[in-house]
Amino acid sequence: MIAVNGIGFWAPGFAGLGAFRAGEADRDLTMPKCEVVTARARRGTSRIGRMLAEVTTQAAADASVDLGAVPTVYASAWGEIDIMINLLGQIADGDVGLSPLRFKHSVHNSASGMVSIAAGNRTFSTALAAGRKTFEQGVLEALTYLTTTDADHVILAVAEDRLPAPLDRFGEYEALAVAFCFGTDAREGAHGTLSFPKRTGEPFRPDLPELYAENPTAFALPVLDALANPEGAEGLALSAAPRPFAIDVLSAEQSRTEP
Amino acid sequence: MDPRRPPLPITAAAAVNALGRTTREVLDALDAGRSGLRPPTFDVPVTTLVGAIPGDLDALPAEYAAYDCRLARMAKLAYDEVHEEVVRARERWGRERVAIILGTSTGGLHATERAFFQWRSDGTVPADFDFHRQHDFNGLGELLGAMAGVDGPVYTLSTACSSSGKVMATAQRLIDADVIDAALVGGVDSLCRMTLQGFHGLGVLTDVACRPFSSERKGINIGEGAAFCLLEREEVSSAPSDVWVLGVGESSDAHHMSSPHPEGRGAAEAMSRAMAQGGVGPDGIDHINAHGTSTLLNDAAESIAIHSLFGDRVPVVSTKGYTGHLLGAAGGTEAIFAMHAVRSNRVPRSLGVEPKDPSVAIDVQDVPRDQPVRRVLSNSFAFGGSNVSVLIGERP
Repeated sequence: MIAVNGIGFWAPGFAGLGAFRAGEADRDLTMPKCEVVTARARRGTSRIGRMLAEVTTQAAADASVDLGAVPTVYASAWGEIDIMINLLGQIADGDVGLSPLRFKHSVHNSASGMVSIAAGNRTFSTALAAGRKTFEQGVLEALTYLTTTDADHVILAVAEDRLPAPLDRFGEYEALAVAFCFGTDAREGAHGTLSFPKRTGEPFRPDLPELYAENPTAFALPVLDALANPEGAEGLALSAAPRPFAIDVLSAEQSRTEP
Repeated sequence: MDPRRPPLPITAAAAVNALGRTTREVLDALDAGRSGLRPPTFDVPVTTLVGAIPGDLDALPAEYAAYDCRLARMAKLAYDEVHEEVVRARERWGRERVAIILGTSTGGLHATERAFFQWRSDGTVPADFDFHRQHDFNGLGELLGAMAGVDGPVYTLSTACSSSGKVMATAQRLIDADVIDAALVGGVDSLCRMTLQGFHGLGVLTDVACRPFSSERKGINIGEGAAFCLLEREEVSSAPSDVWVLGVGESSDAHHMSSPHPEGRGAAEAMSRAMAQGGVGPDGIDHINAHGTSTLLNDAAESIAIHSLFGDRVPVVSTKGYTGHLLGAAGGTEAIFAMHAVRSNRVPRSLGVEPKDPSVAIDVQDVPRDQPVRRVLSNSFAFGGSNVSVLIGERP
């Protein structure tokens, strides 16, 4: 069993999971606070970098794990595409040398660097992409790390910002970031547990909210729903790779009574 | 800390880059001490040398036309060399038990540059630009998965210049967790303007050939290439493997986005973890293929890290002077150079090192050295302070 000991959430209008579940949108909220990173270190960073840092910090705090020591997996299909397009705009404008501040944050692992530097974390961290299956493959990377190393926790942070022009013609959706702090044991206040890997059952993919449906991070939303209401969530299928793998989502109470 | 892990046999490998269009050409050039760095043949407003794959690259077959871009063409050139072995592994382990785990830094940015510049010019994007299959970092993985006919996990690590070293650790874990039995791992990156002008903006791009660890070094050259290794749970009994992945060490500097820790703290941790995972100490290492980018800060930090663990006992080489810095493909490519060192019992020369920087206290090789090479550490360090060291060696 894998415990979900912490959750982080951010989307435009919603500073956390509580506000999102309550449907209480703040129309003025367009950028995460990202207070873990100093104002100076945030210079040149993108919104998605700050979204990833924000939800990672939330998940660590929710699980009461040390952000300076926990392994981290960052997942995004298109990552720092906003900075890439900004830099291409500089080239089109005739700039020869590009902004060093923007260039160094154009890498897919920018958030990994930001958080590890801010928190002094020298352990394992990675960043991945897998198109529409980015969330599922992120789960796979995080859980295989947790189950084959001595680590007792790992944080998976997954996020996608809107695609900038001219790439917005290839997908329109709202930005979204979610993080899970997975642990080998359920802590007080755990959100629930997952079985991993479980290879039975037919894939079951719940409908996604229309606003986020084309956002690869949206596949985290059914997992959040299942954690909040585990009744009937057994066999929730994550379609990692062409072959799906399934996870059972149980409440923390249910998991303690499992044989 | 990672536990000890079972060694994984490398059952096939291929690399293409500025040194050649086949693995044989690449390794022959390495043996001959011949650099592949040349002036760029495309429009870029900076003076430098680059490591470009020689000659034209064939378009993809019609059935894969939606994926067709320079990145995919380079990848197919290398993949064709290992295809038969990948198919054999698929038949051996089953379609669902073979993964494709790639590393890249810029993915299909070359294709996106072309689309963006057209859009800035006339408001349209090219009709053949397919964002999801060409730009998308995992588009190439999907393409290779389709060509290989495998149904296992397909994903792409993108941690800048450590990407295709870290794929080896991911493969280890997926095999350890019994999710898969084999993985095609590797790295691919193509030259593009944003990379060249980005490094120029950082002030680290040299206008001549790079000279890692030399007192006359002026910065880096950027290259392109593709490299793949097939890792399996067990070797093929009819064709025993002579080179294995013995350990992989990963760490974070937690220091700076684009500069290494000045004492190479994260680099030393990555090497130590790779050795610990492989169950060997510094005395068991015969050669180090350094990250060796030829910038002042990187070479200084890495040489301090190496010296802290090995003194000046181990011959060190940077192969960046042959290929340029392959970014997300560097780790995979240099793992194949490490394999070659084990197979040939020969440490290649590090181009341009003389006169060596007197502050560099490690043994950087100016001439090839024939000696027993049982185990090699291959280092890759990246923006964001991402470090990986891969321990490659003969049958454990």
